[in-house]
Amino acid sequence: MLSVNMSIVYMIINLLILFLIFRFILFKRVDKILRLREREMEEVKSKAATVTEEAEAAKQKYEALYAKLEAEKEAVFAETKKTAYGVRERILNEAKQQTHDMIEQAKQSADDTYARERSKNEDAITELVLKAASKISEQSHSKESDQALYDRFIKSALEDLSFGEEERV
Amino acid sequence: MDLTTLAAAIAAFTGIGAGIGIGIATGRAVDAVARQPEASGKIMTLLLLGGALAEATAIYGFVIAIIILVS
Amino acid sequence: MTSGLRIDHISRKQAAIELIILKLRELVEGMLGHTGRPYAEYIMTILVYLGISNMIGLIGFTPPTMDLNVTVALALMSIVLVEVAGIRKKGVKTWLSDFKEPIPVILPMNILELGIRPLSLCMRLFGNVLGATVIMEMIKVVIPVLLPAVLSVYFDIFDGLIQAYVFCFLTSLYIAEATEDKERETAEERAERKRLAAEARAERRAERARRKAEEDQFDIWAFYRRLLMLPPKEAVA
Repeated sequence: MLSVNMSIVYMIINLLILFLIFRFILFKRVDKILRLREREMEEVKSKAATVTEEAEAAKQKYEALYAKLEAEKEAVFAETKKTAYGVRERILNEAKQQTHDMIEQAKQSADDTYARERSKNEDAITELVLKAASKISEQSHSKESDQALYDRFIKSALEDLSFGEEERV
Repeated sequence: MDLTTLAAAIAAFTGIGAGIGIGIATGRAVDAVARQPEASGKIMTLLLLGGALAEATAIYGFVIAIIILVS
Repeated sequence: MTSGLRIDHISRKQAAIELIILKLRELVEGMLGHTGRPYAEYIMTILVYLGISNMIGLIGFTPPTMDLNVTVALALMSIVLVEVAGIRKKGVKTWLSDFKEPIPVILPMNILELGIRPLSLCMRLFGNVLGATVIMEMIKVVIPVLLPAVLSVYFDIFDGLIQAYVFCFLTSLYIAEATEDKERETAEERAERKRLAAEARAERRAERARRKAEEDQFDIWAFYRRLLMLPPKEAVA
């Protein structure tokens, strides 16, 4: 128990062998596995990072697309507005034109009516004159009486005429 | 009476030192735990370590006694 | 045992092995410090070996550490490892000159320590295991049933593990001490320190001389005169 002998050397050799066995069978292998796992984790991490980056890029792309679409929408709106304004303008112009035309037409028809009335009046006057003339020719027609007759006729005709004018206006 | 037995008995006096040392260490450990109860785990570990180290003197005495008795 | 290790989908056994090794490594590297890290695997081996051999008394075997040869071998290996670590870290010259650190007077102590350290390591281990076994045997003679089972929890498990831990702790401590990064003073720093010490010494000497001179010119009769409120000597004359 207390004797110290050569078995120390054997013991040392045994311990060294034990250490080597532990080192190569236990520590090295476990360390290798741990290192591999760490590397794998790093890979997964970096992969996740790239995926995140890709997603970010896609998001930006879609945002840009959206902005473009928005701009297009605005442009179409503006175009439509312009067109609508043009259409409105045209319709207004047309309406104006039509009104104008109608007024012109009305004026024209009024003038025509006036001319017709007038010609009618003239016809009546002529008839009257002819009637008067025939009457006068039937009757004794002195120069004075004729004159008087003329005057009366003209007066009446004028009155008629003025009435007709007033009526026209 | 054989003098070697007496020598071995004298060697056993090393127990005094170990006892005093462990006593002081434990007292201080109790102080420390009373002051900082949350550190009791760490103090316990250190106390065990210190106890084992202090105990070593008594063990030396024991080994010496054995050597004296055997040789 | 470690042939079927895998990276993922590990088995229960592999998880246990990994956990044990990681915990052991954490414990040992904590004791060794970052400079002694390369020696962690040896310390782990020793820790496992001592833990198992100290507890082997539980199942009826004689602990190998009860044989002085084993503990002497372990202690020799430890001290050789410590000194080799020191030499590898510092080089032979610095290692030799470190024997007179911190002051040259302590040189014999440092040389003695080379023998004391392994002696204390091996005797502590041997004595603890032997003492525990002897006490257990004596108790078994007196009370053969029940009590030995209870006490073996302390003497075999607790004490054995503590002693294994202490052995590894001390070895790690020595290695950490041997390999620590010490800030060595350069020649200029040493000269500066010596100059400062000399200045302080000269100052003290001057101070002492001044005080002595003051004492020398101390006139005891004038002091008494002042004490008795008498007029100065010149005035009387």
